[in-house]
Amino acid sequence: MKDIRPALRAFLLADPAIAAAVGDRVYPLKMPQGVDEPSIVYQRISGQGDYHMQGASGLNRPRIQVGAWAQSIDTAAANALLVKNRLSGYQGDMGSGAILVYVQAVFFDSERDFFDEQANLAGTVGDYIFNYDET
Amino acid sequence: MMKSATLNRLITVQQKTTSSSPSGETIETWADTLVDEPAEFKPLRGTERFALRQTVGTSIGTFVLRFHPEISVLSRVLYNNQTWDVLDVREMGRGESTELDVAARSDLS
Repeated sequence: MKDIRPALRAFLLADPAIAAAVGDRVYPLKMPQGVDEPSIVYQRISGQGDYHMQGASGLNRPRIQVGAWAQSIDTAAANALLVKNRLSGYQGDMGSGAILVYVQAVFFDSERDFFDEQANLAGTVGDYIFNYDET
Repeated sequence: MMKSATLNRLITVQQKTTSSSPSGETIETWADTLVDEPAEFKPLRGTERFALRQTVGTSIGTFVLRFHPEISVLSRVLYNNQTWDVLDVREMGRGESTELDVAARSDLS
């Protein structure tokens, strides 16, 4: 079974605009302590399996939240747009070598804004539905 | 009466001016109003907790300095390579000294 997460991270960082905006700060689930520079945090919200009469089809359809976080609301929103440009409607390979995953489609679903008063960070978070081959 | 010997730290106090981005976000620009101001620092117990997306450490303390009525909760303090948000301002005595309750993120270098 293939893990979509390393492929997703590699795919985002392969975009020059995203890499320029966040460096290599793309993290699963949470930002490391001590970081307040613009970052991307992704989180799998749910995953749906797929079956046919002979068993598992090998297709996985997770909902993955990808959020852009920054001290500035405008920066968070701008970086979220970079992510949306990169992911929405994508079909093809993500990652390479051992982490290569073939993605049949990525569908943008919804987005929302947050403000974390304690960390003083604003976030624009989008939900994406991935359809990928996990075998 | 305030003892100047206890004012053994140097702090910078800043005030902000604000403008707006096209989206309406407030852009804060900070300027020094007091530089190398002698102050006493009384650290209090800090905290560390998980916020929306990361663990955030917070240092809390109180600065005591000569009376400065222009300092408000909209000011901030630079000290020990940290930016301290002013949470409360108290006039001690009758114009004798100013106490500032402050908080700063302790996990940022």
